[in-house]
Amino acid sequence: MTYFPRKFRACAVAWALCSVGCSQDGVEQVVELPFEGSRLNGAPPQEILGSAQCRTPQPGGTPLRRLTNYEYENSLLALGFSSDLVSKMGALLPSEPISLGFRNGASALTVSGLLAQKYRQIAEELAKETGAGCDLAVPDCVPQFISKMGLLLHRRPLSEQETSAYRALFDKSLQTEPAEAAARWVIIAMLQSPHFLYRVELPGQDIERVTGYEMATRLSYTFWQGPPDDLLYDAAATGQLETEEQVFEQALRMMKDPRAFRIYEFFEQWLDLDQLSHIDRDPVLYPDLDPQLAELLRGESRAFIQDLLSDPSSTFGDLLTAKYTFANAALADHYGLPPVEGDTFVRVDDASRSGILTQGMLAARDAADHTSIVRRGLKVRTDFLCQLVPKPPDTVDLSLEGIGSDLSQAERLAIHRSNPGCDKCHALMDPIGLALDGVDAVGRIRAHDEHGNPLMTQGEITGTLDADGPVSSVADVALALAGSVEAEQCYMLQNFRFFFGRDAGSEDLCTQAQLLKIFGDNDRTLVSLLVGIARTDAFLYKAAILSPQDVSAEEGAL
Amino acid sequence: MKRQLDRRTLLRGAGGVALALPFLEAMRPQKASARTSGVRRVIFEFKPNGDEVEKRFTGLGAQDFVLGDFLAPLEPYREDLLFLHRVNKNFHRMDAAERADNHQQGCASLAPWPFGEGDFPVGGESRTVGYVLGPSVDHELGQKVLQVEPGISYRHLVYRVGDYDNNIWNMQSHAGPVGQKNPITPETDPLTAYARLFGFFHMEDAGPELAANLEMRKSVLDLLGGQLTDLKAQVGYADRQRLELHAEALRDLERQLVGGNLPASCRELSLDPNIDALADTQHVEVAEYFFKVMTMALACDLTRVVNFSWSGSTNDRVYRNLGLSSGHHTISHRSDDEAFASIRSIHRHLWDHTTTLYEELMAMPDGEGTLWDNTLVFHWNELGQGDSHSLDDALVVLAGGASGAIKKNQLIDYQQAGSFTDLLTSCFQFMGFDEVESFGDSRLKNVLGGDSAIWA
Repeated sequence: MTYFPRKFRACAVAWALCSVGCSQDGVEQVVELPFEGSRLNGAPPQEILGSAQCRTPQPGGTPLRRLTNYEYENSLLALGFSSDLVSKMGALLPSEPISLGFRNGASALTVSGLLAQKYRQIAEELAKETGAGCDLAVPDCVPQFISKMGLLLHRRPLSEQETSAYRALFDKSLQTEPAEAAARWVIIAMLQSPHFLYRVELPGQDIERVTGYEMATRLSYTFWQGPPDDLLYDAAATGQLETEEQVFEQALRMMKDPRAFRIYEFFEQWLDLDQLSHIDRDPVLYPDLDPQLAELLRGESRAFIQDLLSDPSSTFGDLLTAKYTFANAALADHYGLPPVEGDTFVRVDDASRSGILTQGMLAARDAADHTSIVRRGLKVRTDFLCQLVPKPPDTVDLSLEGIGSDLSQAERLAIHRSNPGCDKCHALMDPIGLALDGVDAVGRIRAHDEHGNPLMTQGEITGTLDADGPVSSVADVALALAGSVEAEQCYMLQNFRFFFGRDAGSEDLCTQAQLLKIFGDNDRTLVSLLVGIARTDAFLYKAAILSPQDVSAEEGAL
Repeated sequence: MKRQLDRRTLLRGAGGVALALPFLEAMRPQKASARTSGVRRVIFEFKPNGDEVEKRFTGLGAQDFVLGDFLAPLEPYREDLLFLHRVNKNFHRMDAAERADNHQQGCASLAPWPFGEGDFPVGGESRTVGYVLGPSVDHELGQKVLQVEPGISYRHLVYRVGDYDNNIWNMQSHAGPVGQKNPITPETDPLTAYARLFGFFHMEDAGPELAANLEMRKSVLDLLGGQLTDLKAQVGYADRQRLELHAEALRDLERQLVGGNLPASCRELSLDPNIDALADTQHVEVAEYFFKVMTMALACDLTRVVNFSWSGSTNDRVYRNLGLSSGHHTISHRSDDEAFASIRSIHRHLWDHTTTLYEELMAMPDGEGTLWDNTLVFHWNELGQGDSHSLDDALVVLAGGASGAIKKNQLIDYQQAGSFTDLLTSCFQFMGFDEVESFGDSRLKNVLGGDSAIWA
């Protein structure tokens, strides 16, 4: 692994972060970044893991996490409701506020009045589709039903107090309704319980290991985006989720289960593949598009990612550089690939492909009538390098319309960059986007732009720790990223953000280093990083509840 | 003879699949109830990306002003309109580190508080911000209403046309309290918004036996409230705050169960269910459906406050229906004549269809008159003008009969003075909450007690 002296690391990152107004003499202004920062900045993980900070568990913050809509739907599926019904119910939920580029940021997920009403509607609708599962005329049935449903919906055994409360609800209904209706009210309540809607973990006074049932839930919502199975519940009940090895064994088991493909949700949100559903393309410039194009492009990436995840030897490099993709008949036709039969996506070898980079994600932020060189460059800079590029200043002209209408986008951008107010940020984006311009705004490989101009794809990656250099094709960009420690660390950070539902703080340096070490020790296989999550401090431990003094201080600060 | 039914009857719902609510027909009372007569309401209505300041009016006389081309659709209604020209949002008074860029900042005009930490990039700067640290005026105004009118079901309704994603640029409504980030996800589908308001589930076999038992619903809410209370006692500060919001949501549900009788004008709507709520090509249909739904919600006295947006801020919708091929936001950054002509055509289009809301309110009986008579519609934009991203020359239009409280058929030119938050404070005054002397960050106001210049 390439090692960067600390001073160089700090300089490079600061350069990226201060892209607006970054001065020529930035090197002199840079202050050395200590390891106490929240980013590794290219540092080798061993150096951090050997530090004093990592000698004791450092789980970072472990906020209460409300189920995302996807996790909620998967939780309903696990209860046996049909996928059609669950999809119909899920469509009623408002989409989650974006945070860190994902829709699962814990701090942004609350239960509003609107959502509470939707949860109630769904609970009442679903309750009609279920029952107690035993003969309610038999005396033991009611306690058995409450206990069994309670375990599934609270994801742990109910306390006596909780059991009594549900029983009282049942009995109250029974005064006026038949037993079947009373059972439904219990299910309605459980489906709205905070213990169902949140992944509840109760903090102690100090940093400590999560309990068995809490661990079962952490594992399942991490690797299956849904609730635990019977084996996890059994393991929790019998103390088999106590050691790191036990937890890791479960993670390995779960990654072999088809439910692990739900991890595709991470890739969808990270790379904006979910945005493809809303793409709008000019019908004149892009005639005869398949009306299902967005779903075809998502289907391609889903099949590609699932293929990678199903092979434990698939690497980060494969994600970026694979010379194949997945297509069905319609997508092969759209791409101009050799014919494929049927609706099922099958592997198609094609030397012009560069893994995920030549798939729909590249077009996700394009304009209706052209590729967006700027946004594509921005996407690489933010998604793959985790760098910050400011939004345009308030008063600049965002369009290139006034700049030589007979010129290509690339030429107009070059003129745009000659404006001193625009060059610093655009220098971070355009030269990367240029190299990606060989794919059109609907994902097809091309040699000319929308107006028949020859492409100008000679670009450059700059401002990185180790990916700098000329690039003139998607493949060049892919290779540069695949060989970059900065991109590797960014990929780790994106995984961290999604799977822990928060950003990495300074206290998470140890967890990040643990992840990177596992990743590096395993030839950067995608699955190793995923299961490696289960070996980190942030996964095995939970934060302490704040002391009353801390709470007072926080409240005072507000 | 038709029987007047109470709200509990309504909440039992209907089992049908159609969006028409035949059961509502039976609930129409034999004669108009006086209950809502004189009741005041506020609707906030948003258009994005600024307009063209110099072309709003061709004369600036207080009474003899002439509406520019993009405001021309308002001419037939000017007897009931007050135009507030070049109002200053005063965000420059906040510390630079507390502000976001002008789109983000302007988008938070209804929630005028400093921004919290987050990962949204700030325009032209190497820093990021998160959602604002405080509630929006619609939430707080609705909260005030609930305190004095516990029979009102909904604190406020929050509707937006378009956008699946929710982010810092398109969530303009925020729950409190001050110091916390709690953006409110808007409803984007008028059909489901309608279905939820009227307490039934527009799906097959809605199972009236479940919805019927309000007492059991109440018992469920009690049980859930108890669980939340127990949980709050066992978690840290930040989690406790989020659970408190959840508890507030449950209290909302409980209040919706015990709402009072329905006023006379509360009746069914006929909405075509074949609509794609997120399709830009259908933005007019979606907006006009929302106008129908919000008008009926007000008529049924389910709420007194609505926050409606034609889109989020920085919206880049391509108005192909107007012959445009570039997105709205993209065009708005330009300063050439052609761009401004496009901006004006977009605003004319939006204003033109906004008057549909006026017509809906005017057509809805309310006491001895119509809803229009007692409603204040507060029109706003995140910016003054797009190319300059100005925040000191906003256009605010106050529309509606507004119970005769607001000046009419007049133009007030603030000449980049005034205070947008003072106008928000005035909304509290309009609704009878005179005790509210200011709203938002204290640096943004000019005076206590709201802007007196607008009163008739």
